[in-house]
Amino acid sequence: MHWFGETRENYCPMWFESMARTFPERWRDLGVQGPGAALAKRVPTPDRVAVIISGGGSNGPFIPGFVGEGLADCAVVGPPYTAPSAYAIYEAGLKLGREKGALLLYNNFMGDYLNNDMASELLALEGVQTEQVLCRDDMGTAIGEPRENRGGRIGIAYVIRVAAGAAREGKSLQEVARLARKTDARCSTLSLAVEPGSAFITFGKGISGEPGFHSRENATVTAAAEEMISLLLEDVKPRAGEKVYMLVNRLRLTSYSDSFVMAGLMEKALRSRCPVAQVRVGGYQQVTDTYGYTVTLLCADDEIAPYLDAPVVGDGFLM
Amino acid sequence: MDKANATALRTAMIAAADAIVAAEPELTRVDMVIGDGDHGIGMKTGFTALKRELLANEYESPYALFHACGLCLVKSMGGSSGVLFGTLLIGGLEAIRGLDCLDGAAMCAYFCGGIDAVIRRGKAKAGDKTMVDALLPAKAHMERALADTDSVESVLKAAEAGALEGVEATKAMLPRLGRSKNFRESAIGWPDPGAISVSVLFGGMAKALA
Repeated sequence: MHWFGETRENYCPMWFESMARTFPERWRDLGVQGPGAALAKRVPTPDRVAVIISGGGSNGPFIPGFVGEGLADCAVVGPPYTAPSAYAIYEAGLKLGREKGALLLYNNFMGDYLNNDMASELLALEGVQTEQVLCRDDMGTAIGEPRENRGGRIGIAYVIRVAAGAAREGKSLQEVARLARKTDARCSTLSLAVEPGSAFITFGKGISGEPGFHSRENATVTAAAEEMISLLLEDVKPRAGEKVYMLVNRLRLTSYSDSFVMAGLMEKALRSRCPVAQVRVGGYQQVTDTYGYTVTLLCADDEIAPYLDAPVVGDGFLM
Repeated sequence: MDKANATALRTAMIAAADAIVAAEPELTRVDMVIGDGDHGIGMKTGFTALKRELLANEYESPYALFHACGLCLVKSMGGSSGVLFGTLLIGGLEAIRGLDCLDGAAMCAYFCGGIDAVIRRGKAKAGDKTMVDALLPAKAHMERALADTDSVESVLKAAEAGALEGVEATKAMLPRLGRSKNFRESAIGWPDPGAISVSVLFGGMAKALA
């Protein structure tokens, strides 16, 4: 998003309208009141709980690329890097949540919380049931603080899949929310940023460039992979009966081939410590002008794991 | 005025909107010092839209009027102020459902519900130098006023007096939440702009119901 120019004012509505026009088989634009926008699945499924994800409009494919069958029913965004308005979320909820209710699913940031919480109250006044689920997987955001202070990163990808799978089975809103919260609670994400042209690495940099918590000079790729896995396992601590799922997300400047080499090393490090159920590699959530990764580990028990086994196709990614 | 129906309350909200718009330069001046300077403009945008909405519509009940006011602020203002002022007007609606006319007790119950909702949602505590520091004394003054009066005008006057007391008190406070926390010490001596807006809102309504 370097070259906004005259599109800045109306950026998100233009973005979603174009997505819906380009792939009409997949999406429709809900046409909510600007400055934000909402994109929904082409074919509505009113017989299920509606999964509505939201956040600041960013580089993608998260958030709108996660709208589709097996994923979310709708994505609501605010202007670039700004929380969506409560009114836009409310409009989406009215359109999609009338029958079975709406799950409002988002990463834990103040603006997103305020607007979703307000939308939930407005929807209740119209008789639309909602449950809110806040994702708090980014361990770099609140080092040494309780988990509930953490922001969310891309662990929400697993939560979306579990919520969508449970909704498709016809589960109630409360049950879908319970499974979504359970998934988030067992999910941790850590970022690894590499300074261009050097071997200087930093763990825990935030999605908007907030400083990390730990750096190393002259790191080897193998040592970085091993340290990443150690830090994540220490945080998420797999329990007996849980299977471990890993999502390796390459940031914008990282090459396709690099990301598979790195994921291979991480998988080897992970397998030496615990059984691994599934590894996915792709570009799920970008950070502008960064070489590096975010890695998410999810510990899933028998109730959660079945929702993750079949691959799902999003826009520009396979998960 | 002792009791107010939807028509009188519509007039009061139009007056409150005018008062907020007139206070914009002061809100902006204060927020330039201790915040990011956008509070006044945000409030002006929201309450200008609110006045337009009120002039274009009639409302069948106080509930319908305040519901429309809250929705309008949420829709037009964006950011956290839109949500919080929307919450103030929407959070207490249950207390006035089905009423054609509000007396002092009903007005007090309505705004106390909204104040509780703002505190629950915004997670600010007393002394954090936010609008809550005007809302809490406004609530206390309204509840105390009910011992002597059941007039809607007196209750709103009490709310204004409490809010103004709160505005004064915020001058000595260090910000702990929101953007102005980045200005910490330099915020001492300045009131919180959100608190000022609360006092202007109550004052504007009270004056119109005289």
